[in-house]
Amino acid sequence: MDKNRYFKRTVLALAVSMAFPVSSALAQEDVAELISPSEAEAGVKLQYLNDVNPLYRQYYGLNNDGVNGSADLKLIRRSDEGRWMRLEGRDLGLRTQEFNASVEQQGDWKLGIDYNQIPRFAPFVARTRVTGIGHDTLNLGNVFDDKDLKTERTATSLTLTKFISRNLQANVIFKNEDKKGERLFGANGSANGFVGQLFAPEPIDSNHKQIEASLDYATEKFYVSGSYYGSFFENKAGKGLFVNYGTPAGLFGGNPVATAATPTQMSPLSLAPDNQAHQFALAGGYNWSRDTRANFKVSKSFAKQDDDFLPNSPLVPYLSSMTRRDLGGKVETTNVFGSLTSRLTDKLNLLASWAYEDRDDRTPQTGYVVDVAHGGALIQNNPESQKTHRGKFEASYRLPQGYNLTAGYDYDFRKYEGMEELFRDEVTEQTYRVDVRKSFGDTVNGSLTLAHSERDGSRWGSTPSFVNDGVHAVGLHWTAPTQFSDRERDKVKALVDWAPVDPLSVQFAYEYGLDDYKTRVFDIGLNKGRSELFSVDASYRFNDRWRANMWASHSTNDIEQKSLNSTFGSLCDGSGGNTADRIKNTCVPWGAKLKLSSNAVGAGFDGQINSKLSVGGQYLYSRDVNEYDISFADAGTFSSIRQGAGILPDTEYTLNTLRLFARYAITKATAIRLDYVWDRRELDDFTWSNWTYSDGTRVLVNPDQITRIIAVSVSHAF
Amino acid sequence: MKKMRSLLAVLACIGSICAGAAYAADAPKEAPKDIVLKGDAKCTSCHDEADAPGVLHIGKTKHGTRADGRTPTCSDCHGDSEKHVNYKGSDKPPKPDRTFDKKSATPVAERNAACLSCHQTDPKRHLWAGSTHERRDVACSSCHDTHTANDKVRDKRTQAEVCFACHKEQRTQVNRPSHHPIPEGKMSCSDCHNPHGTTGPKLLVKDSTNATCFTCHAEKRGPFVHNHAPVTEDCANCHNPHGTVADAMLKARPPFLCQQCHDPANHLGTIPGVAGNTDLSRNVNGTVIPGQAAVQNNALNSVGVTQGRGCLNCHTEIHGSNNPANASKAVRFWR
Repeated sequence: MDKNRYFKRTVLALAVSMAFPVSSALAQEDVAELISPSEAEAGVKLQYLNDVNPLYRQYYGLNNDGVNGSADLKLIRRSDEGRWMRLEGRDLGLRTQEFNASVEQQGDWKLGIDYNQIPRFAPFVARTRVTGIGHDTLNLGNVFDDKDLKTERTATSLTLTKFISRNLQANVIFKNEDKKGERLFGANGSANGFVGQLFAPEPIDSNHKQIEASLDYATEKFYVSGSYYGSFFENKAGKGLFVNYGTPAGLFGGNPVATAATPTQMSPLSLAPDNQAHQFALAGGYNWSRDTRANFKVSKSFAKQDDDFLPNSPLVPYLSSMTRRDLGGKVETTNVFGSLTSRLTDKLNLLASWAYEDRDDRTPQTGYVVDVAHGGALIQNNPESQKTHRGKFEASYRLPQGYNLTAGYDYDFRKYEGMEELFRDEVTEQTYRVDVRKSFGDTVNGSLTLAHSERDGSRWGSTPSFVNDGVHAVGLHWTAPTQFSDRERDKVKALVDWAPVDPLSVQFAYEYGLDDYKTRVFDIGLNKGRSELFSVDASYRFNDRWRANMWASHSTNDIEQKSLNSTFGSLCDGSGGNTADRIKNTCVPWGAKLKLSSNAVGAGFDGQINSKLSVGGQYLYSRDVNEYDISFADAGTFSSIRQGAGILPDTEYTLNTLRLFARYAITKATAIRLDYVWDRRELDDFTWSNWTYSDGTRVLVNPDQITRIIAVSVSHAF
Repeated sequence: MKKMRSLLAVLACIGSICAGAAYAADAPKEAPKDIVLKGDAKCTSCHDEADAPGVLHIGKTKHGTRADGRTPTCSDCHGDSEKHVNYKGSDKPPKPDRTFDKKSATPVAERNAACLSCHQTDPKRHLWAGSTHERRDVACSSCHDTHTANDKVRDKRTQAEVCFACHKEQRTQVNRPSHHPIPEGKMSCSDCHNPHGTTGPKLLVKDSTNATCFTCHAEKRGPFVHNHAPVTEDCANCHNPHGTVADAMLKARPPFLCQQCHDPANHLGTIPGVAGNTDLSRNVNGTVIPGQAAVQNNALNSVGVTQGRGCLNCHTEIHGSNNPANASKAVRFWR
């Protein structure tokens, strides 16, 4: 902002207006420009893209190299009567285009419409001979071709707000969203009990309608609010994905090869069923006094999933006793929330809150599968109900010299009902927190938070089995799944703001977290988690025209976990009459230390060279390195670990982005802007390296992607 | 342009002199007039664009809509500030009663009270009292700039920058290869979080993590014939929505993620490996395994559970399957 320009205009114009009545219009006009929101501006943008790169285009949606044209427009009008009209379009003509418009009588009513497109390109190219991608039937052709997998969301929202009286407000939001395209999916290739993996993209063609309506009565003393939320999902892509190719042979003899017209036993794969949910809520709050407030909310949700099943057929054979034609899924969820905050004295402030959720899955249970391959057990659908309680109590005390001390206690309780009796019925976590802050009016401010959590639960529903039952390998019920396991968690968080001189502001942040999981048997499963982050930010204002900022952060995340290398059908007892069997039946303990190390640096500046020319730039560097340190026991001659297994290369992702712009005001109304983007993304990841699907599909990732964009925009204000 | 400025300056001087003479002789001194807000003359008679750039821009905002009788004047937020207004000294006057800059000596609760005196009745701010941000002494003005029409935190393209001022870990995460389109400006933090307070965990807009995710991912809601427990419980059991290196925002890549919960029975404990390094025809000690090829695309071996989609190469329907078939392959999320 060029303040001197305004100063001259304002002061001079006011002075002139005092002398000559004819010039008062000029003064009013200039002041009006400062205080009026009204504007009308349209612009066109031509951007030249040197190359389409999968990682860059992921959400930017630029999928054509060369010149891409788009338009922006903005219109804001406010009348003296307080009537607003807004109209804004961004990226019009591109896949990311969005448009919104609204009319509003401020303080009375508002009507708005919003349109938004969000593309999502898979960050790779698939070279495949699979045909029918995007539809519910996939076949195998003869010709390999490059395919982009992409989805595109197009959402239109309508909003209506009306103040029925000064205190009574009604709000309605309706959102209609379509999502189309295809995304990575897959299937086991088994056509005759053998294996292999197939490239089988999932077709996406869905519609999601949501409506939210509320009536809210609020005064300074209390509020009460009633609301309804409805969500209606419809999948138009079909009920199943038919994969008409599979691998008829090749379990251990080499790569199973998929052949056309030999469907995998997985076909059809089920696609997401239509479902709906309705929620009714009543909320309120009351200020008992200036210092004490209570809030509550009660809601009830009814979710339903009764979409027709895939019809009974040789590919989808129903169990003879299964007479349902749909799941009849019904889930009722009750939520209750209450909170009380009170400033007991000038210095002591209390908070107590409690949230309860009862997810009651009322889906009727029936047998669907006789699991011949696993002992002939009758498998029913598995409704899963849960009750959760989240409680919080916190006391804050204001100390001298601007310090504030907060002590808190959090209580999380989860009760599982109807789940397989393998795990725990109840899990409880308690957290104790202390927070010290100095939060206003000095050169140095900051906070330090310490938290300690302990999580445990009821007795396990199963006992670890060490007996070979001839069906399962040894190792049943050894693992404590992450969300059920006992855990101790410690956290430290420190934040310091330092403003040594007026134009300079510096911020330091440090975060540390340590999770210690209690395992069940042989330390199988997740053992430890650790995270640490250092960050520094600085901003400097050179003068009213120029400013700059930078930040840097370094973080690490470490995980330690253990398992037991086993193969299908292993007895884990080293038995066998030949080498192959002895290797198969030899299980080997192993552990992994997974380390993620991230470094990021950002910097930016903007300024005005003169009243017509402004420039700016941003630079972002981000690098993530995953290391996989795997170790395993030496199990001798018959170890089941294959040569080279357990050695995973590091995965590395590096992002470098430079953005520069210059804007020149040709006239008061017309401006030209140049943008330059240089974006380099390097990905070294083993995910798709030397990987070929059984149908021959390969997924190609360019390890070094450089995108350059030069854009010219012209805007004109009317 | 210079000539024009000179001309204006001359006109201004002449005008001022003439006007001064005329007013001195003929008219009583006129009280300053309001410029933007009702009663703002008390402030704007001193604080114009030259003194405080941007101060008048409040006129561009909803606060500056005078036709709306609810809108405030300067002193509604900054206090009557009589000592500041009536200061006669030549040095800096005392600060107004309430200030909102970063170095403000006004307690945060008092600053926020100025905003809440009107905004507590906003439906989305009913739960501010007791919210994490309120309890941590976050001032409204820490995130909002009330004097500009372009409040950074209310624009989805720039909102995250404001949030990242405190949430450093998330700033790092959104730049990882698998992320929601926040850096691209197509989503904002407030699509999932209401920083002004909610009944849900982590200030999520709905009552639970899953209910929040279902607003965009309703196809995962189910229920299904075959439900997967951690999915039903909490999407965040497996996903970090702020961004990860692993595909699909998974907290760890398969098979590691899956092995954190699943027993090593059968092939579930298979040690990971990649095709480029691994010879599947012999074991780690060099023993040749009869009938096995060096390279196999096989779901049961190290490579098959690690590369591509890892375990999900075969257990495709990991969010739940609605397949009613009486077939072994219909369970365990295969089809």
